[in-house]
Amino acid sequence: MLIIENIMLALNGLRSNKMRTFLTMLGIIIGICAVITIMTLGQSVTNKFTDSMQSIGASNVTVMIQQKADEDEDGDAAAQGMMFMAAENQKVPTEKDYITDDMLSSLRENYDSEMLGIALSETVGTGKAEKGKLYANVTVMGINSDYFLSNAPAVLSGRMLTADELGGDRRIAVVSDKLVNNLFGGKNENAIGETLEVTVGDSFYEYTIVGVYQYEQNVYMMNFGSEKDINTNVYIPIGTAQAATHSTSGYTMATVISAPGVDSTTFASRVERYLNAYYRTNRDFKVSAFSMESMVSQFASVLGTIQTSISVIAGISLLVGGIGVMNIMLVSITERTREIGTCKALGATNTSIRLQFIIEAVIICLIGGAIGVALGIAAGSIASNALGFPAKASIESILIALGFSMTIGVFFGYYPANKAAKMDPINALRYE
Amino acid sequence: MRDNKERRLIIDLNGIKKRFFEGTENEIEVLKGIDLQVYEGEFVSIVGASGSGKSTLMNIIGALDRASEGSYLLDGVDINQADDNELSHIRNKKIGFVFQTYNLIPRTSALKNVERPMLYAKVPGAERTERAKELLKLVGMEDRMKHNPDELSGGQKQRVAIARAMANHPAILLADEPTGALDSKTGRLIMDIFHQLNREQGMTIVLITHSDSLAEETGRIFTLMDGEIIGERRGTLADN
Repeated sequence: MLIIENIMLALNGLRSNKMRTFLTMLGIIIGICAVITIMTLGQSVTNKFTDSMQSIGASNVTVMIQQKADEDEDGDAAAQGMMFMAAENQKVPTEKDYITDDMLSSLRENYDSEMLGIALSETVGTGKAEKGKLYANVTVMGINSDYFLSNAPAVLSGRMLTADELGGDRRIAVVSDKLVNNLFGGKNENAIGETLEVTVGDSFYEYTIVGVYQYEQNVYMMNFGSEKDINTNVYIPIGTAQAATHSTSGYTMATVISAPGVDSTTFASRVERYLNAYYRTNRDFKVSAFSMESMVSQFASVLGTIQTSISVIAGISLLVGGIGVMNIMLVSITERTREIGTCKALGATNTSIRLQFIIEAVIICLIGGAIGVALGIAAGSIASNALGFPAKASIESILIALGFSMTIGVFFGYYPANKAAKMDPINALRYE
Repeated sequence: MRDNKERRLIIDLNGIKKRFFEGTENEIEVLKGIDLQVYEGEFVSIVGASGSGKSTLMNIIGALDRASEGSYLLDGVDINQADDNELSHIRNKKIGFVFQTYNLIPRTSALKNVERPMLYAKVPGAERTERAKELLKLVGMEDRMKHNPDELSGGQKQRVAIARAMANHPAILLADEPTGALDSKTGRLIMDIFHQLNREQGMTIVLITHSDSLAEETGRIFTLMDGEIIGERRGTLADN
């Protein structure tokens, strides 16, 4: 009925004291802006993280040997995943503790339909590849034929190591385009067939380059050095690497690549149970298996919790803003006592007076909220761009913010409005 | 002079008493049994010194307050039985207030001020504006409709206030010292408007004043002292 008229009245009232109205809004503006910005940033980080986790194979199950928990310790160690054990109790796994080829092939037979393969790697070490005065930082890594099942890098020149080659122990390697840049002047095809000389610690290795892959920067590895000093992988057959490190009897880690559609979280626990049968008599070590997927969802939920709690803190500023609105409304009502008395003499009911002031408070909050949303979208987009993961404020967060600011208006406007509505017209008319 | 018996009774106060601080040690009786009848089309005045109970009587006549005792029928409606909400509607429809201090709503144009009672009466927008313009013309304020109260002189404000009081075709105009804040020349102008409304529109007007000379212009004069009407006499206004 009188809603539109009341909105006009409220706007009129607010226009007449622009500075005060703006200052009142400021609390709401800052609060809403903060909430929107934080939600956008959280979204940006979550999106980016989930995306890149998916791309590096979130559905893979990582199997690693892990020291058994001491008797008196909490049995929860497995849940800690990659956590390191307390240093004082730490034991170094020896050959008898390794995951063997036998274990893996029986695992493969048992769960054939649920997996595509088992990726294995053996790191020789990190060192320098040199050619005359030129050099490149490298990590030499032996891989098996399943290693690139889930995420093979693009081959720019030559070829990837074949399954046959990976099964043997030939001294051949696939290198990154960055390395080619440093050592061979950037022409990928020139590197094919060249000899790569690598020094790792005291050891010296020579490999024949058969292919060049495209290097992709890992989002989690911050690179503080110059472009030239980037450390890239040199892939060699796993047999070659095991020969170099004298560890032919097994692995400390393996990655089971799940078949599409397999729930990797439950698959991980079955793999863990299966392999641990081999470790029942091992006093010091056992196998722990986990999927990236469960880690991703764990991380996402932790991130969500952090985001929510920061949003709640930002929400407190909204609360303060709301109290500011209430304060100003009370001042305004006292100032306008005579006006309220006049309105009552002219026939305004308590309900219409109450409505008028609640609408005034809601309008302050809604306009403040809208400005806050606009600033929040801008700030969120600037900040997420600065982080390197651009994101937009979600429609839901905008609607929630506006709904919330409206609620604040009603909530904090009600008390002053009710006070106005209950004024005695005689006293109000006489108020000086 | 017309016979009041043939005319409609607009204000009918019988044995009105008003006590404040009822039931406490400080209880005082401000009105001590007022009987007062005003008929349709009359222009009457209530005079009394300050402290005589004038304001209290005006508040009761204006349906801003309820009597402690007695009955009050305004245009046939029992005011003492009405709740707050009903009182609002009665003030809105039946009573047009004109205050000494004008009481225009600030930051609101003359036109919007006159429209306000019609807004509360839920009169549609176009009709409201039309009626408000008509009324402002009636009081000679048609050139200043868009002006806010702080851009108007005292006399102009009071004319807008009179137009506003007329908005919902009230049963009475209740004027509380309407010329009290004005110089004599402007005050004269305002009194002329009241006379014009009474004469031409048949408006029933109750003027509350402490000025005997203003009261003298009206049809009947009631003198209030210590909460009682101590006298009723005829004024100079003929045929009223």
